[in-house]
Amino acid sequence: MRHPTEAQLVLALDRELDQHEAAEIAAHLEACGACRGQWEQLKTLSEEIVEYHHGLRGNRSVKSVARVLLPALAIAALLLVALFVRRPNGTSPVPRQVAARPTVESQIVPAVSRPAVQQVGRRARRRPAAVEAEPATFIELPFSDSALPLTDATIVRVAMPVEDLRLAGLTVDGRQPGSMLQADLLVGIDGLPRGIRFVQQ
Amino acid sequence: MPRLVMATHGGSELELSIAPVTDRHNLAEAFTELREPVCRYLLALGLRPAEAEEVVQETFLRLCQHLDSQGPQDNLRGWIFRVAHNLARDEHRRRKRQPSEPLDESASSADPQATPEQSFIAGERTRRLGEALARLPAHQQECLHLRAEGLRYREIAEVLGAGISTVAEWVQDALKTLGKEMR
Repeated sequence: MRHPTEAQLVLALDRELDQHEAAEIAAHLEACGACRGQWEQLKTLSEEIVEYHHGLRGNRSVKSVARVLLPALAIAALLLVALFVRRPNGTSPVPRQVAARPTVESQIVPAVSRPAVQQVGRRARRRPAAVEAEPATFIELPFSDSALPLTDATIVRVAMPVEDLRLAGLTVDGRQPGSMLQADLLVGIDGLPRGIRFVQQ
Repeated sequence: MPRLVMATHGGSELELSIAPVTDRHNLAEAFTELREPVCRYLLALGLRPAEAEEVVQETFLRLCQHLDSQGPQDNLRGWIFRVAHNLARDEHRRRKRQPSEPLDESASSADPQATPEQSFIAGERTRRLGEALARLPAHQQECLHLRAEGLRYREIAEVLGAGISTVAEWVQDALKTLGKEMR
């Protein structure tokens, strides 16, 4: 085989060649030091670009990570609820429920503008708390390990715009457009959502 | 239509019912797998973290609608990145019409194990790479960021609305330019 062009090397690097062409280039690289050197340079540069690209995410402050993570958890939970309550055959399943009575301190912050999902939460504590959660049950979500103790979980209260819930496929009765629906996310000590309950004021 | 009786806080019950969907499993799976890569791509396009997160949410809500309307699902990853890409462009246009806000400055990502000299050299090379990337034409930058997320050329083509051979040319040109600048 003649020396592959740089374009062919890039295609090979990105696994965009068919099996036959890829095998030919691999065989050539085994035998040709000059092409192997060029290949290594392309590979190193590609790896540096990937590293740089991923570093864009890694460079974020704790504050901005929290700002992103908590609403994301809420949306993930919402999607999972939607997944569980709708079965392919259209039957009406009974959601599994987690018997939870964690002690929490929580407060509700009025959601006034986007970002659409806002959160306020405090780590659950074992000491006697000022406010005890409602003895309501959470709908179980499969993200977190159910063996983890509930006493170390965190409850995060989120407010979601009714429009976004409707866009996600939920039909919310008796709520005006522009209003918010509140929900409690039970987040396990592994940081993953373990349950969700919707609350009405 | 199935109904879900919600937990209540103040005595009265709120009932939710779920609209028909084609495949909710795809939705949850896509969200779990792609939320972070899409967010990273949006940050690479220059969105601020809060803006990127908002676009991610909007993207997945649109995916929900897409699945409900039984839209094509053969290239969902490309579809999701394309929607996010277009929303990011809208966000850039919106930002141009508004006064600029201060950027959320981030902490350093330097390797704590490296010696000061290693840190300096690595940091210097990263800085040069960042500058060289920023000088590339926008479509080449977008190509490389999507490629860094592991998208295949056909998926990149779907996101950027270009042909597969064009994407291959953009990647090759971008690598050639960067290779020269990083020597």
